[in-house]
Amino acid sequence: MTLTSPTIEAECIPLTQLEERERAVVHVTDLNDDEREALSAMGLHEDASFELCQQGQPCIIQVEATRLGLSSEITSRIMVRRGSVCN
Amino acid sequence: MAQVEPNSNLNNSVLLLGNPNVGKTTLFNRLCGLRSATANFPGSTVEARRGTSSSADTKRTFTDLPGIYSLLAKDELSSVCRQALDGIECDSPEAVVVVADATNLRRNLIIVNELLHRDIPCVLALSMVDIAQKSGLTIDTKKFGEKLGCHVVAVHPRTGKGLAALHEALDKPKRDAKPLPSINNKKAVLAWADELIASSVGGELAIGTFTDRVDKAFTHPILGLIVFAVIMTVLFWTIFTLAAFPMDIVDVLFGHVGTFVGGLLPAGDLHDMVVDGVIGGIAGTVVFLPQICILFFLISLLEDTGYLARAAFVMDRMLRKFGLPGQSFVPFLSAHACAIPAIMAARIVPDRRDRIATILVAPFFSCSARLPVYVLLVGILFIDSPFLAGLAFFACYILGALAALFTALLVRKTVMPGTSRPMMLELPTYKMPSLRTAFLNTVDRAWVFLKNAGTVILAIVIILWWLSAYPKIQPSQNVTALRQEATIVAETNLDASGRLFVEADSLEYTEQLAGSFAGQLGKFFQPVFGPLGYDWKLTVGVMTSFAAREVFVSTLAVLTAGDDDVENEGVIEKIEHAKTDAGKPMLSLPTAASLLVFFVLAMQCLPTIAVTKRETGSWSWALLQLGYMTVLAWVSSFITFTIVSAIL
Repeated sequence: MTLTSPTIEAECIPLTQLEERERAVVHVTDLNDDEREALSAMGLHEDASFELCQQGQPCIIQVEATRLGLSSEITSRIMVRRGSVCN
Repeated sequence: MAQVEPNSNLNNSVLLLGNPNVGKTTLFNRLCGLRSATANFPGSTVEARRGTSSSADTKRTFTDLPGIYSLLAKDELSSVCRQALDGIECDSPEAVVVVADATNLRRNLIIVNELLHRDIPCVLALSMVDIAQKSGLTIDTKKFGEKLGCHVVAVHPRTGKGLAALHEALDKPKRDAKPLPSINNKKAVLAWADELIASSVGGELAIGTFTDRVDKAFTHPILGLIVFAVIMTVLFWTIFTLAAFPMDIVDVLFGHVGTFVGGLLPAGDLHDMVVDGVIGGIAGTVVFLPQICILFFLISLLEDTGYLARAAFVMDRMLRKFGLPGQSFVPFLSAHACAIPAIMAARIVPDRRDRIATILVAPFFSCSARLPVYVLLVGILFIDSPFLAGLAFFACYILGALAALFTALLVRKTVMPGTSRPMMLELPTYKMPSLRTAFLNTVDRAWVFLKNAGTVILAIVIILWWLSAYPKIQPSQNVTALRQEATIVAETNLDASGRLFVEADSLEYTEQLAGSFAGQLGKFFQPVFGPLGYDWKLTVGVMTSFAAREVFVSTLAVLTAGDDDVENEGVIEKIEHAKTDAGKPMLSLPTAASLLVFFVLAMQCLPTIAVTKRETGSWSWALLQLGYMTVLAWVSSFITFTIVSAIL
């Protein structure tokens, strides 16, 4: 978990609430070490910017040139901030 | 500029390292072609392919390491890559070629930075440059190399373009000392990557919407399932259709080899061991080679298109309820042809625990070797109703699938607690599959299978032959009398005499089998199978079919050859009408039903056990699989026998 200001915390929403084609930045995750490490290696680390291609099961996101398919068990534990922010 | 001089004392060993789905294996195939072999890394079940490739005057050994995202990860694949880079239990590498996707440089540069921290000469090979260019990117490889401190070459693994430049770069590898960010500081690494990309890469990557639309269809809960069902139906129809002819050829070929070799050897034990044991036993396994080749060829093509990653998500919805990941569907479908390629196909399951769970339950799915037994027993059970026979046939498949799924659930609650890892997969770009890559992958898999057949399976069939051939039993008076009668009849009726000789041979073989160690084992274990309704002949049939299920019908054919109450019966009729020693029908309805359930659930395939051991790296899993399936089959058959007996 990352400590952040209450203002930023209030802007955060679960990844599952993003609309298709919306861009967002990973804010914080509630994943275990293995899951976080695997996602981070594929480019989805905290502060990574991405675009949501498809909501649902699977949720498909585009992180730079990498297209990732994520199950809902994963996406429900990722909080994001709307908008594209430089890493 | 510091150049690393080529050193003739070095072993010319080059490692291919890189992220998954970057075209590393395609590059390896292009470099080495058929001059390669698969070997396990010392102390692990991870495989790597090694092959040789030559430039103008240098021959190099390339090793295709498993695709990983980071050298720092704790998983087995990353550990094996670190081991190979450090030269632990293998040759120290002369150089490393890092294969990186030109359309995704930022992520790929993470592993490049990790490698550059090790003092090993390296070459960065950029793949998919053509796609990058089409998508609007331009890459100045010379400038990139200067900033990075090593050679950077653009390669096109499918066409071979750029291979000469790669060899040239390896002839004079360079490794300039450039400031590098700490491998543990992710932000600094990404900033370093951004700076490198900004200095050498122009344009912006345009991502099309075609992939979005296709993904929507392929991963849709209903449409995705329909697409999946159609593709898999075509896949298996192709396997069964195309494999039938080459399987017949293999069968006939081994028959001829057996006859030829048998003619060269004098009659006796050596003749019997070579012809019946070695050639016959190997033939029984190698006959599945065409199915295995076609299966792996088609799976390789499908994987190359990028579809399999999407299909895994479609199946994940169902399989996760049973503690299995979506990728398990490929081995499960393959298991309907044969459990051996299914267990080998389980390599596509990335998590080791998920992979072992998949391997443990795959043999429950009804393979083609069970079909002759199903045909025989369903025919006996529903002799007057083809409709009910068809339903029973289908029920066998359903029973096997249910047993597999519920066993997976049990495995994930007991020996391997926990759920399968939630799916998070990189979805590769859709592309035309490479026939060359599929062919080379198939050759590789076929060779692994044949090596297994030539070692473990060969040993097993020789032991089984010995058990059924010894001790030698003298022919009984009945056999002698039949032969005498045949000799007398020969003067008047040659056909009848021939039939009598065949009958005498069959009877002698039956007596030999009954008195052999295998037969003695059958009689010894008969009390174990008695509660299921089996007499000693059925017990021998069941026991011998632990070597391979398909021998059950032929064993019973031999054992019941002397039961000739009705003249001119076919093999199946003789088995159906065979009697126990007490004069009762050997295959009564309760016994046939119990036997059918036993064959659906039991693990009667020694080659499969050998492959399970090889793929899990432990006899424990193989023996657990054998023990569990046998016990489950026995208990289920006992319940079936008891219920059917009570109803009738």
